[in-house]
Amino acid sequence: MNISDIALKIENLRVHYKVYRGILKVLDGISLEVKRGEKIGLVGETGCGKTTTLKTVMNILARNAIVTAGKIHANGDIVLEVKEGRVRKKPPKGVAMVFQDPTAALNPVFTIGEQLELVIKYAANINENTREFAINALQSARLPDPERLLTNFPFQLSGGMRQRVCIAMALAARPSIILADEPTTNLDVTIQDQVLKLIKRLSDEQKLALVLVTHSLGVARETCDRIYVMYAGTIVEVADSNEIFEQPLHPYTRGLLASLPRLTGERMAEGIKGRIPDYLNPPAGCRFAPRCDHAFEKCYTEKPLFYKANDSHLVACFLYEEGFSGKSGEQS
Amino acid sequence: MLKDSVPRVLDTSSAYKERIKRGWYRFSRSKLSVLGLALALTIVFIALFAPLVAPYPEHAGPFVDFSNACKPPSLTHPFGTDAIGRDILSRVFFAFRGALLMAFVVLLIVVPVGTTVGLIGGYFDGLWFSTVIMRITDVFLAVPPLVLALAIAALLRPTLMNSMIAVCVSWWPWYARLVYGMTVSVKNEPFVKAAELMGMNRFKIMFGEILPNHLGPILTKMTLDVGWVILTGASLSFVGLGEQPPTPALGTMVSDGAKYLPTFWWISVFPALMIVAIILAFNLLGDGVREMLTSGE
Repeated sequence: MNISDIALKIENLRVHYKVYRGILKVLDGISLEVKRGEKIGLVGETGCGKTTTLKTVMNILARNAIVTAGKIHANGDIVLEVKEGRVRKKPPKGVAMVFQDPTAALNPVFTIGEQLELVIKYAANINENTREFAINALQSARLPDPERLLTNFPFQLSGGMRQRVCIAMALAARPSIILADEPTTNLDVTIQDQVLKLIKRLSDEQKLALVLVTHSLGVARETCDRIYVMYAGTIVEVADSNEIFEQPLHPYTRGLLASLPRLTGERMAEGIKGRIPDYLNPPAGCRFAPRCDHAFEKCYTEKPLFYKANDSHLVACFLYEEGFSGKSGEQS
Repeated sequence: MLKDSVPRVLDTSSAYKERIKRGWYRFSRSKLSVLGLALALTIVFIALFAPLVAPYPEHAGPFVDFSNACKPPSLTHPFGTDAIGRDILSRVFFAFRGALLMAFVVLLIVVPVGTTVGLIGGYFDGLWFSTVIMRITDVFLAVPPLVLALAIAALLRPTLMNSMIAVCVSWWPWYARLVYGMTVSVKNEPFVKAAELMGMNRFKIMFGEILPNHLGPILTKMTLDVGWVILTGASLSFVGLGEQPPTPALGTMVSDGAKYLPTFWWISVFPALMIVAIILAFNLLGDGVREMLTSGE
């Protein structure tokens, strides 16, 4: 594939955190690829390293984070590269991020207009007609009465409006890649739906590459073309959105699907036993092995490679080492 | 990188006007705050126009009238007269000038210095020079401010100027600590990260994005500190380390009158009461400012 078709590419990214108790080995070789205009979902439970991945791309990791390996391309630029133990970083161009908490993402002491103006001047390099540009940005995020909104302070808006303002701001920077870090976690359900549709529509319209981080498979299916399932700092399965639901291969993905509460179900959702491993001493082999019903000896000692179910469906599990026949339909 | 030359196109002044109105509404809800404001304004007015307001302006200088010495409070001398016949009310009015000048100059120096130190220390928290700056601040904080001010004032010649320097040296660390704490908690907020990502200058982030978040607490502390700085100044002049006679100073007047207690009680009691009035006024005002800037958001 031509390199120019790829908006964002992460190769074998390893990020550790240095803490009092030792070194937390959080990201253990993340690789992902987003084509131009493609929407991908990064799904996993809390603490599996989704946000760390985005922060690494944006170069805003906490100071105690150490990148030990990996390479990140964004828009053709090398944003991060580890060579001979030295990390070279630079802030990415054309990448915007929507943060999880819209309240914290806006400076409480400035009006929306002033903050949008900064984004327009600094990030989009537009110095004329900033007012029209700002109003357009707010309008495209379906915000009512943008003129008045410009003179409002963040605390005068509701959570959903704030998040839409954040999305408008992210887009005002005219990015080609947008990273959305659980943009709907802090919103109520009806607003969640609106915000997701907005993100989807805007990225469709402007041909943006989208990385949507979420812990909800349903949200990812609605919004994204492809889904990366993450577990404890590793990618365990990649597939087209519908295929993940129709043919989940990795035991973890199956567990996730089984733990979705169903309206029609007679019984409670099953869930996955155990917890995310301790990052201080993560399992030597597959990181899911201690919680996995199908784990065998090899799982505890060796890290699984990706096995290809079809062109777009990859799974990192030793169950599929000898091919996919007979096992792909099996339910856990 | 900076694009400050570009004129601001978005007019958001109406939003700030509304904010000020809301603030005044919250401030005026408390009658005590309004009383504090009125008292403080009166004191400032008296200090500014002391020569016009004082009944005997010439008594503020080298003036002696032994025939009127130690007269108790009366209609001609509401606060009485001191041991050499000077009108105490007039001298108190003139003493307000030195006291307020001191508070003004000290805060003018201390707030920018302390704030800058705190911002740098907080924003670069964890780096070696931040540690150095904040430990130096801690050393200053470890000595009680009055003791430190006394020690410094005693080293220098006793003038109003030197007592201001003494108070400044002991006062800035409190602002540095206050701003440091708030900066550490704000600097990891996503809006600061976003500004960093856009490539904004670090100093612009510190002063333009972070500092405005601290203005409420800083302003509140400043208002309260007017009273406390004046008290510290009065303490210095009480032990003879402030303004020198014949210029009136509240502390000096209290200590001069102490010799004549309890017979000629008014010589010390009225200047002392005025110190109380100043501190009370600015404390009430400070509470109102806090109410105005912090609640309801």
